[in-house]
Amino acid sequence: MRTARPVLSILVLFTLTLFFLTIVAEVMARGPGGGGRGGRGGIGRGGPRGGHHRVGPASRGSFRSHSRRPPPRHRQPPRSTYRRPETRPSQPRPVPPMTPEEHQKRHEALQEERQERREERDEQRERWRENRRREEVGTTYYYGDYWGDEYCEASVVVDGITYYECEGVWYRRAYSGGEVAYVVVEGPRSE
Amino acid sequence: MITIRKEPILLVVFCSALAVLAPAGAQDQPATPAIDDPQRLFERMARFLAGAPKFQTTVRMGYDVLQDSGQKIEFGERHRVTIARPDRLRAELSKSNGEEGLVLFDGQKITAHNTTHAVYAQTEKPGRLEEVLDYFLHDLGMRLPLALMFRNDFPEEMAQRLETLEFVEVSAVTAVPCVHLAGRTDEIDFQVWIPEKGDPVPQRLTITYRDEEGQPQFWADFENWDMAPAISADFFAFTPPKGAERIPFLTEIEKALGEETPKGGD
Repeated sequence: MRTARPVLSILVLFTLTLFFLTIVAEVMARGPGGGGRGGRGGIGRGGPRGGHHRVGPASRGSFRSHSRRPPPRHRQPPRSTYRRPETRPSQPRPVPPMTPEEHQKRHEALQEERQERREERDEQRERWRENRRREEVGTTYYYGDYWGDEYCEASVVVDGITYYECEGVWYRRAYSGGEVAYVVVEGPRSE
Repeated sequence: MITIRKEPILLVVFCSALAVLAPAGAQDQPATPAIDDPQRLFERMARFLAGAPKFQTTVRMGYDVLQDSGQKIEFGERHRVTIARPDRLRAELSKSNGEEGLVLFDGQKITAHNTTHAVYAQTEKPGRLEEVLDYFLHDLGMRLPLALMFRNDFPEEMAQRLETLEFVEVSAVTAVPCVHLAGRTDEIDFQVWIPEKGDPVPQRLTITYRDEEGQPQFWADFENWDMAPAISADFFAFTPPKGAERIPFLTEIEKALGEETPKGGD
């Protein structure tokens, strides 16, 4: 009986560790956004579902090689236009000791600077989005399969048309090349 | 002492040798006129399809799509196509990813319906099959594999495009023995398998896009040919299912934008 107790303890410990590891793996697999974003009827725009493109020259099954239509333009994920400053290895400089007041001031100044940079970046991103949106209306689209795991909800239904909003860009569905595509459009609120 | 008569044994050996060698010898002889004149068999197939007042077939198909990595991945579809000349078509589509849809020409309208996404697009287009197919493929930018084979002018179109056509073999591994032909146009290479006997309806077809990157291939296996399908009156009509959303063809959006742009001036 005495020998059974340590074995039992090890088994319990092992089970708990396994349970904990499973939970950790699950959380990591879902990523930082959690697992609740994939609402039904929603759309997303990661990579193609399953990781592979479905459309190509042979998919048309045509007796001609070149289609009259240009290939669809798939939008790339937005890239930041913000250039990182070049970092150079610097020599260590002696730092004079700071008083608590100086330390507080410096902290506040840094916070302020960070906030300004953040606002500037947000403004830049908004301008970039607005320009892209204007350029892309009706000309840029994704095939259904190219919408990945990051879902954008079906946001508004106006006059029987479902509009989807994804990071400030509005989409609606249209038929293109036999596939249901999501096309950048003017949003219903911009009228 | 047992004596064995040699004559019957020799006769059996001779007959067996004859049976084995006879087919080999026959292969040297033209088994079918297609060996000498593949063009004639191909034309016969094309004219047979173009001249059929109606037909139905199920086409299992696959196509390569070249990925960014350089790897070719094959996707598949199954289409049940029904044609009633001069202006009706119904294609029931199933894709390997589970999506299902429908393409309908009812003589007045074109309808494309995706049951999976519960959407449909529709536009007015009366006309003969080849006019409506042209409009569907080129003006609406839609897709219907092997559309050329459903056109009334399939023989003339192929006659214009064909550069070479050769007999390959009589294939014994198809559902029925088929004459295997290989052809080239200025843009594609293709192969077609046509039954040696009976209706000259294709059993298999491949298209290689030799000028495209990776030289992707399209293939189609035809099944259940029916040259006299029973078609009800509403077979080509479309009634939107409850809850289905009507969406535009992308080209309609592009056209509307094109008309808007000069007015705006920016």
